[in-house]
Amino acid sequence: MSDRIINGLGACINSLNQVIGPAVEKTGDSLAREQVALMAKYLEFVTQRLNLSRDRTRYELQQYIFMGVEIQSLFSAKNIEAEILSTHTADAKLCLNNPDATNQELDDASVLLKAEISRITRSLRKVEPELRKLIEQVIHKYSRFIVDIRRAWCKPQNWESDKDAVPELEAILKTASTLLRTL
Amino acid sequence: MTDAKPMHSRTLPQPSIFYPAQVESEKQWRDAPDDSDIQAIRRAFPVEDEFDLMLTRKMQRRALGSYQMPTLEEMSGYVHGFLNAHVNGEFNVKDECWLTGGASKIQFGFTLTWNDPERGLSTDQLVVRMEPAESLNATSRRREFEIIRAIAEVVPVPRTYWMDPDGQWFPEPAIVYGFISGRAKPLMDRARVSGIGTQFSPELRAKLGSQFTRHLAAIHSYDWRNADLSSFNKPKVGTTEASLWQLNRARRVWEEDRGEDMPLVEYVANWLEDNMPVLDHASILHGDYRAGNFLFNEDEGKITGWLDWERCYIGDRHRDLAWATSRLFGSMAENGNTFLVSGLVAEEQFFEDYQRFSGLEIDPKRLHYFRVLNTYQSMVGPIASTYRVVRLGKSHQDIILALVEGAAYPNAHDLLNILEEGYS
Repeated sequence: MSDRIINGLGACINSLNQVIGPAVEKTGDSLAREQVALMAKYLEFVTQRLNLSRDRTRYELQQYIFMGVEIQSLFSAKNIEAEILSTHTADAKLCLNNPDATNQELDDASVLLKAEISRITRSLRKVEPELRKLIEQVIHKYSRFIVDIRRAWCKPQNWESDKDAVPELEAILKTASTLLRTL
Repeated sequence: MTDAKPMHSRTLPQPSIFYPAQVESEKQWRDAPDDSDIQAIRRAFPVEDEFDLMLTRKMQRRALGSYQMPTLEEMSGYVHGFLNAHVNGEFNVKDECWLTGGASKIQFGFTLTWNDPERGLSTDQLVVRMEPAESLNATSRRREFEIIRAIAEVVPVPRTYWMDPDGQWFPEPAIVYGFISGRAKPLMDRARVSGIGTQFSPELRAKLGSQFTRHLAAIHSYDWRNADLSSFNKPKVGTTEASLWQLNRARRVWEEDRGEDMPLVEYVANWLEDNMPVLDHASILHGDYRAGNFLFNEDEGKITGWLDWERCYIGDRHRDLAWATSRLFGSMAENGNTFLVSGLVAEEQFFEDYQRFSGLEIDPKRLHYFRVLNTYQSMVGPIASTYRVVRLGKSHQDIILALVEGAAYPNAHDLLNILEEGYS
C-alpha cells in the first residue's frame, strides 16, 4: 500500500517540478514560485519518512515510558503517590508491547503520558529542591533522545549548521528495537 | 485535574494553570478557545500591554476559520483605499506584486507616484507589510512602525510612511514602508534558508563584520527616552520585569498554541523563572539580530538596511547578543575551528568590538541566561505556533511553517548543551 502512496507522491513532485513550476515561473509571481518549490520539497520529505513514521512514534513513546518509570520511582522513594502517572505509564507500556496497537492508539498513549509528565514538571518549582533536581535530571536525559530523533527525522530539511553531527534516523531506530526488549 | 493522592501526608502540588494537549481529535479546545480560557491564560502569564492585545486578538479570532489570502486585485483595492485616505491629491500606483522573504508576514510591493508634502512630486518603491490571520509570531505592526521610525537616526532602516495598526483599511494590521535594495545572503550561499548557517566570503566578512557589530552597539547604546515608543512597556532598571515579560510571552504562546506536551519545555521554563537577571541597563533590542535580517550591497560591502523589527522590545542587551551568537545562525571559518557570528565575525572579536563600540559590558552569566531563553523561545514558536497555524490554515505561508518545525530541534539540542555547560 505505502508503495503506491510513495509512487503517487513521486508523481505529485514531478508534476510540481516539471509542469506547474515552469508555468508559474512564466507569470513572474515570486510568492507562487517559492511555494511550488516548497511543496515539492515537503512532499519529497514525506516520501522519505512515510515508512518510518510508526517506528518514530514507538521510539518516542518508549523514551517517555522510561522517563515516567524513573520519575515514578523517585516519587515512590519519597512516599509520594502519583496515580495518574502510574496509570498512563502502565497503559503506554501495554500499548507499546502490543504489536497490533494502531497508530492512533500509540499516539493517544503518548499524548496522555507526555501531558502528565509535563503537568508534574510544571509544578516542580514547589517541590523540595533535592527531588526536583533528580526529576529534572531524568527529564533532561530522556529529552535528549527525543530531541535527537527529531533532529534525525528533520535532517533532510537542512536546518543544522553541522549536518554531519546529526545522528542517522535508521541508526537510532535500530537501537530502539534493542531497548524495547528491556521494557 | 488532580493525580496525586496523599500518602503519609505527601502530595504533589498543582500548577496554577495547565491545559494538556488533547488526544488527537477533530476539534481541540485550542482551535476555538472560549473567553474564560483566554482570560485564564492572560492572568497566568502577564506580558507587555501591546503583546497582550495581539495575543488576545489572535485567540479571540481563532475560531473564525481558515485564512483566505487576498488576490492581487483585492490587495490593490485595499492599497488604493488606504492611499485615498492618506495622500492629498492625485497619485499613481503601478508595479504591484507579492514579495517573498520571511515566514510570517504578507508583503506587497508597489511603486507610488504622489505629491509628498515634504519633497514635492515623488516616485517611491513601497512595501505593505501585513499580518495574515495568524503567523509564527503574533506581533504588533504599531510597534514595528514606531521602532523603525525612531531607530532611523541610528542604523539604516526602511523609511516609514504610514500604518494601519487596527486593520481599518487593510484586512489585517499593516504598515507601509520604503523598499530597500540589497541582498539578504551572498550569491555564493544559495542553498540554505536565509540566515541559517550563512557563509560569507572572507572579503565580504572584512567589510560587513565591523558594520554588523557597530550597528548592534549603536542600537543598544541609543538613548530612547525621548523617542515616541508609546506601544512599548518600559522596564525598570533594578528589576526582573523585562525578562519576566519575555518568558511569559513564550509561556503564553506555548499555552495557547501547542498540539503536544513536552516536559523539556516545562523544565526549561522553570529554570528561566528561577534565574531571571536583574536589569542593569534598558536597551532597545532588535529581537532577531542576525544575518538574513539585514540587506547589503554585495559590490560595495555595505549594509543597506535592517529589517524584521517585529520582535523588538526594551530590555537586556544580552538577549540580542545571545541571539546574534546563536550556533544556528553562524558558521565556521575556513580553518574549521573559528566560529563566526552570523557567518561574519569571530565570536571573541565580536564581543571585544561590541564592548568598545557601545561602552557596555558583557556579563557571561546574563549571556548564559539569554542563550537559554532564546533557545527556549526558538522551540516554542516552531513547535507550538506552526502546529496551530498549519492545522487551522491561518496564514499564506502554511507550507513554510510546516517545514519550520524542523528548526526547533537544533535549538533544543543547543539548549540541552547550554544547560549542561553552565555559564562559567
